Amino acid sequence: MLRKFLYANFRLAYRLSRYAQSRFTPGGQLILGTLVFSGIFGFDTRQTLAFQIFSLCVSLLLIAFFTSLIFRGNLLVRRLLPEFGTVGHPLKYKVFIDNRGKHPQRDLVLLDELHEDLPDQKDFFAARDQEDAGRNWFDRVVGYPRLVSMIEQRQGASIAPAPIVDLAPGDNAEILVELQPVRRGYLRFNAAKIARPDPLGLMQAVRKNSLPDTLLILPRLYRVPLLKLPDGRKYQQGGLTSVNSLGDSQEFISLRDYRPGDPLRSIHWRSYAKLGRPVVKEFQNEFIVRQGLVLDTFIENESAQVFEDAVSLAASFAHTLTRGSFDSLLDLMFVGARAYRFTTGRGVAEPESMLEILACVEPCRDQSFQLLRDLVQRHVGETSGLICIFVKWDEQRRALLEHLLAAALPVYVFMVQRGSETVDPGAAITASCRFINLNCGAIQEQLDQLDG
Amino acid sequence: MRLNPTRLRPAPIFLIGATLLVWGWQNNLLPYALIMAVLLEAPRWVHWRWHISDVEFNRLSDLSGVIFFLCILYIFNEKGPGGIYVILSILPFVLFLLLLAQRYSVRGAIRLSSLFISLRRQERKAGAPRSAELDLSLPYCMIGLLSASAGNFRTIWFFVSVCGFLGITLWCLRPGRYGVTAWLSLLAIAILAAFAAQTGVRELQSIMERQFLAFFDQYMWRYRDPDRTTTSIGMLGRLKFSDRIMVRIATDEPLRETLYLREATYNTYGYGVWSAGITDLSTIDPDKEGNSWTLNPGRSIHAATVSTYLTREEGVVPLPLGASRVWGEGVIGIEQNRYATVKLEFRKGWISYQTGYDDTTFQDTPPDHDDLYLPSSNREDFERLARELELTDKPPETALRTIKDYFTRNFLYSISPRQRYPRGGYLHDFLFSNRQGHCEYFATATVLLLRAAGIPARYAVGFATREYSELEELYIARSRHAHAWTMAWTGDRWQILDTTPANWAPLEDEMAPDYQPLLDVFAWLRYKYQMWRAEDIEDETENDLTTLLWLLIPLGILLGWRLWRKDRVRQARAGAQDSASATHPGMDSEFFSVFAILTSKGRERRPGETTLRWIKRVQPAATLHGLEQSLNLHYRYRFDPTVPDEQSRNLLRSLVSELLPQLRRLSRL
Repeated sequence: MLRKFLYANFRLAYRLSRYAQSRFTPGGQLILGTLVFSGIFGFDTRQTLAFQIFSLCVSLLLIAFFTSLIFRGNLLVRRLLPEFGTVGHPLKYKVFIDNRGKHPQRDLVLLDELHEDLPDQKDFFAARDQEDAGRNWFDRVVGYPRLVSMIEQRQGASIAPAPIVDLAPGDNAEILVELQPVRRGYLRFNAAKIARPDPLGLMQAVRKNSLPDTLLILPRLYRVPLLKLPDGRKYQQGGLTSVNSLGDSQEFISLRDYRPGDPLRSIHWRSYAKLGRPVVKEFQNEFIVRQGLVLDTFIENESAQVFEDAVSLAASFAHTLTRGSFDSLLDLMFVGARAYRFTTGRGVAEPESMLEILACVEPCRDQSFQLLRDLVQRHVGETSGLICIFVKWDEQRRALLEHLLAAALPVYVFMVQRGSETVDPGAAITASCRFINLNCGAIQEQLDQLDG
Repeated sequence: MRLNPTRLRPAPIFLIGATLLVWGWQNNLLPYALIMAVLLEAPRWVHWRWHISDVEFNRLSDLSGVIFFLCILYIFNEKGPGGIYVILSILPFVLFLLLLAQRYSVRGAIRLSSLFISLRRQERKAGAPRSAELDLSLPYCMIGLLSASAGNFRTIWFFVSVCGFLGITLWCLRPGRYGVTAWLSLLAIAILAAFAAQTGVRELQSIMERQFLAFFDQYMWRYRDPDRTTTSIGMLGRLKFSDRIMVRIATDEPLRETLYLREATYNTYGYGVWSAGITDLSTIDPDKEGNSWTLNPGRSIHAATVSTYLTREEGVVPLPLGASRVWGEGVIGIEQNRYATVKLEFRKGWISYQTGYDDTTFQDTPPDHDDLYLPSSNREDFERLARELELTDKPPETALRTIKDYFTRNFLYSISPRQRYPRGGYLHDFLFSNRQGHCEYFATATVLLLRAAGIPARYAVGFATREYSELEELYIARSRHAHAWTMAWTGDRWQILDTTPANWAPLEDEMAPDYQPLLDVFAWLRYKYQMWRAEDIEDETENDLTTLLWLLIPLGILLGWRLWRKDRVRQARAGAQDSASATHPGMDSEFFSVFAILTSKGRERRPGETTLRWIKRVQPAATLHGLEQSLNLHYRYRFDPTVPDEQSRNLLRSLVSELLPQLRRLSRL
C-alpha cells in the first residue's frame, strides 16, 4: 500500500521536475527555488520577512506563466541523425531550423526529446538497479533515484538543450545538438521542442514539433587484443556459392541436373535452354577459415551489468576480428527468442551488421542453455576456432566446453562476472584452452593485460 | 557577446556586495557583511587567481557542509526549534568559503558534483559524463536575501531592497527579444501585486491561526487556561488521547490509590464550557529562604517531585490535591487563584519542582454562592433528578454516596459519542437516555447534580494516574490520563467525588499501541537530555552566537596557509594582461566599429562564421559599398602590421566611414 502510494508520488514528482526543467529557464528555476524556501521560512509571518520575498516571487512567476502561454511564430524543424552511435561516446547531430514567419526570432532554445517510457508499478517494484549499491540507505529504500535511473535507461540517452542562433524572417540555422547515449539499442526520438522565454526571462513558452525518428546505439567497445585463432581451413557445405567471393577463386567442376533446393543463381541458363530442363553449375567444395563467437545470454540473478559487459565484449571482438584484411567468416551464435547464428565476413554481410544485431540482443530468461549448446555443437565441424563469452559457470557450460575441446578446437573462454569473483574451471580445461576471468568495472584493464 | 540561455548567468557587478550589506543591516552583522562583500567583489579588480581542482572544490564543499551541520547542532542545542531562524540568518557565512574559492579560482565556477555527493558517485563510473558547471554567485545572492529576512527588521526598506535586487537580477536575465518598456511594465505590475499579496499573506496567517488554535490546543502540548476550559461534551467521533507522557511524579512512598494531580478548578458551567469567573491570580511571596512558597496553611505529610512541560516561560502546573508548599531550583515565582489553581513562572520546556501535600485535607477556599449556581438550560433536569434520588433530604456525606452509586450502577464509560443533540441537550441525553460518556460528562453532571441538591461543588481538571514506570522508577501521567472530577463541600471540608466508572483507566490503556514501551524509552531519553540541557544552560554565563563565528577565523587562516604553501597562486597581474592585449597588432582598426554596430542591431556573429559571410548574411540583398576592400585592408592591418602603410590606413578609415551609415540604417532584429 505504502509502496504504491510512493510510486504514484514518484511519478508525479518526476513529471513535475520534467515540467520545471522544460518550462523554467535557469533564472526561473532560481526564482522557483527562492519561492519554495521563502515559503518555508516565511510560513510564520511574525518570525521573518521571507513572506515578502515569497509574495514577489509568486507575482513574478505568475506573470511569467501567463506571458509564456502563447508562442507565435512559424518554425520548421528538421533533424539529421548519424547512422549509429556508441554507448559512452557523446555524438553530435544536426538540427535545421527555418524561420518561415514574418517576425525575427531571438533567444530560442531547442529541447530535443526522446520517447519517455515510465515504468509501470510491476516493473518498478521488480527492478534491481545496479547503481543501488552506490546509493545511500534512504535512496535505496525509498527508491526515487531508482525510478529516475530506470527512465533514463529506457530513454537511452540524455540530450542537452541547445541554444538557437537569432533568426531573421526567412533565415535558417544549423544547430549542433549533443547526445550522450547511456544504453545500446534503438533510441526513439519523439519531438523537437522549441522554447521561447517570457519577457521576464523566467519561464518558456514551448512549441512541440512532432519529429519521430530512430537512432541505433551500438554496444560499448573495448580495446581487445588480437587473438591468435588458428587459420586452418575447413570444408564448408555449399562452397563459395554460399559465401560469394570469399577465399580462393571460384572453380567450376561440371554441370548436373537441378535438384530441389539448388540456388537459382547456380542455374546454367544456356544449358537449360538447350536441354529444356534446368541444369545447374557444380563448383569445387571450398575450405574456408570460419570462426565462432558464442554469446551466453542466459542470465538469472546476475546483474544486468554482467550481461551488458558480455555483449560489449562480443561486440568488441566482432569489431576487431572483422576489421582490415579480414578474409574469413565469423559466426555469432546466441539464443534470443530462438537460437540464432549470424555470419559476417567479406561477401556475406558487412561487419557493422553484426554490431547492429548485438545492439539489440536481449537477455534470455525463458529458454534453456541446451539450445545454445545444440547450436554450437551442430556447427563444430565447420568452425576453425571459437570465442565463448559466458556470464555464468555451471555443469552445462562445462559440458559444452569439454565437447569443444574434445573436437580439438582452439577455444578462448571469457568469463564475465561481478565484483572480484573468479572461476576456476579446473586444470584439464585450462591446459587445453585459454580461460580468462573478467570482472565488471575492470574489464578494460584486464583486457589490456592479455598478451593476445 | 550573448550568453548561453541554457546556463545561469553570473551575478552582476556589486549585487553580491549589496545583498550582503542588506543582510548585515537586517541581522546586525554589518562589520562581517562589509568584509565579506569586499572580499567577494574584489576579484573584479584583483586579477590573480588560484588553480583550484575539482577535488579541492569537493573538499571545500564538504567542509562547508560540515560547518553547516555543526551550526545546526549547536544552534538547535542552544535555541531549540526556534533556532531555525538563527540558522537561516547565518547561511551566508556557511557558503562564504565556497563562493570565495569560486570567485578567486581560474575556472570561476564549480561543478554540481561538488555540491552533491550522489553526482560525484555517478561521475566516477566509467564513461559517465562530467556534471555541469554552476556559477554560485546568483544563488548566493538569493540565499543572502532569504537570510536578510531572518532579521525581521520591519521597515518598508526591506521590501524595497528585495524588489531592487530581484529587479537587477531579472534585468541581467532579460531576453533580448523584448523591449525595455514591456519589461519595466511587467516588473511594475509584479511589484504592485507582491505588495498587495504580502499584506494578504499576513492576514491569511491570522485567520489560519484562529481556525487551528483549538485543534493544536487539544492535540499538541496544551496551555491550561486558569480561567476557562472547553470540554468535549457534545462532540462527535472517537476522542483521541495520545500516550505522550505529560507529567512525571516521584513520590516519597508507593501510591496506595490513584493520585489526582490537579491543574485547575472551575465553578461556572454553560454550553460545554467551564469557567472560573473573574478570578485574578495573586502572587505568592516566597519564604525566607527565597526558593520555597507556601500555598496554604495545610500540612505537608507527603513530598513529591513533579516534572511537566511548559509551552511558555510560565504556565499552570499540575499539583497533587492538598498541596500546601512548592519549592525547587529555578522557580522564579508562583501565582495562585482562589480555586487553588497554581501558575508557575519558570522556563520553557521540561521543568521539575517539589511539593509537599496532604492527600486527605484540601485547603481550597470555602464555597460561595457561585458554587451552587445551576445554568437555566440544565436546571430542570438536575432538580428533577435530585428529587428522584431524594438527595435534598440526605446529609451531604450520604448524598455523595448516593450519587456515586447512582452513576456506578446506571452509567457506562464511553469515548465514542455517536449522535449529535440539540445545543444544551447533551447532558439531558447523558442523564436520561444515552447514559454513557467520558469523564467530563460524569464530572459535569455530578457537579450540577450536587448543586441541585444544595451541596456546593466545583469542577476540577488534571490527571489521575497510578501508572508506575519501571524504566524511570517513578509514576507517570500520560495524555490519556487527563481526567475531570468533582470537588464537593461536605459542610466542613472539600472532598473528591469521582463518579466516572472505575474502568475508564483500563479502557484508555487499551488504546496504547504494542510498541509503547519503545516509545517510552525514546521519551525518557529525550526528557533526560532536555533536563540536562536545561541545567547546562542555567550554568552558562555566556551564551553568544558570535563564539561560533570565531571558529571560522582559524578555518580561514588554515585554508589560506594551505593554498599559499602549495604555491598555487598565479600572479597574473591585470596590468600585464592589459599591456599584452594592447600590444596585439591592429586592435585599433576602424573596422571593429562595424562589428559593434551589427551586434547592437541584434545580429550577432554565429560560431565559426567568417566576417564576410556574417555581413553578407545580415545584408544579403544590397551590396555594401567598399565592404570587401575595407575588409581586406582591415585584415592586412590586423594580421600583417610589419609593413606600416599610412596610405592604406587612411583608405581604411575613409572606407569604414562610408560603410557605417549604410549599416546604421539596418533595422534592429
